[in-house]
Amino acid sequence: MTERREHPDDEMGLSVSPSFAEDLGAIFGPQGQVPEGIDRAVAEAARRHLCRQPRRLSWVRWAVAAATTAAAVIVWTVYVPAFRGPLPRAARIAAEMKRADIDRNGRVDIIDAFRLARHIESASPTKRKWDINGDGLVNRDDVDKVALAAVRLNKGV
Amino acid sequence: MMKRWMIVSLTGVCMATLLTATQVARAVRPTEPKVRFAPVHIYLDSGDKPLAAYQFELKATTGRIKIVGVEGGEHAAFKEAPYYDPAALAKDRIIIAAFNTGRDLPRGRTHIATVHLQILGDAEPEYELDLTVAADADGRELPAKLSLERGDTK
Repeated sequence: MTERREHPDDEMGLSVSPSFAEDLGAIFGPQGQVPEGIDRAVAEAARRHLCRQPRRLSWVRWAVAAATTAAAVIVWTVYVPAFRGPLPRAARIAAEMKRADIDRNGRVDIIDAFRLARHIESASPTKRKWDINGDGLVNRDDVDKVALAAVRLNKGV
Repeated sequence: MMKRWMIVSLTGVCMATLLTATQVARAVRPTEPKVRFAPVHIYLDSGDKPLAAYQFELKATTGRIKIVGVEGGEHAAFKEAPYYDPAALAKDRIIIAAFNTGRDLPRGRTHIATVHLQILGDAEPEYELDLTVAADADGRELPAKLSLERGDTK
């Protein structure tokens, strides 16, 4: 442990002449009294500035809160539904079965797949709702999807 | 001396416990059921009408079976493996379906599919066949008769 030096300048033998000390005092010493009028004006300006500051801060705070709320609402309504995860299994199967009922007789069987295959092979106009797998095309993959829905053991009922 | 006796007796107790446990495990282990494999050939008789599509359900009413595979029939129109739910494999119930949009379609009694089964135990299983639908080339429903034949057991 080292001992703390109280007056290092004394130990180093540093000293200045009185005239140099006077010059330093003239440069760095107090510059005289500030007139009372100026002092008051400065204080008044500071007071005005400090009183105005909270009002502006409060406005900024409200703006930030409103923007955050708006962003949260947008994210919730636009993006969240896409990430809410799959429908419950039974509901998903029911929706799939409804789409696969090509002839709309209330039953999904191989005749639905057969009719869809015939439509595709005859090159007659296809309906958008026959895009069972949602790939933007109506083709053999959709026929397979309907046929597999027909033979599904668990039809969600 | 006492310590040695303790070690010897502890070792003896351990050996006896092990032997007893092994014998008990051997005694309670259930006997493995007898397993065999057999195909079931499915036939559909559509009379004089051409058969373009069919769907049926097969299940075992008695006996213990596991479905292990499905293959198509003999006629070219239904030679490819039919549609079925893969979840039906290793179960005792299956829905099978196929269609053909071509012109060469079978008439009369036709072998439409073969289902391969694993039969557990000695009991001969009984099956139930349920025709969901059979259709002609225009997609019109047909009256048809479904039947099965048991294949050679292995």
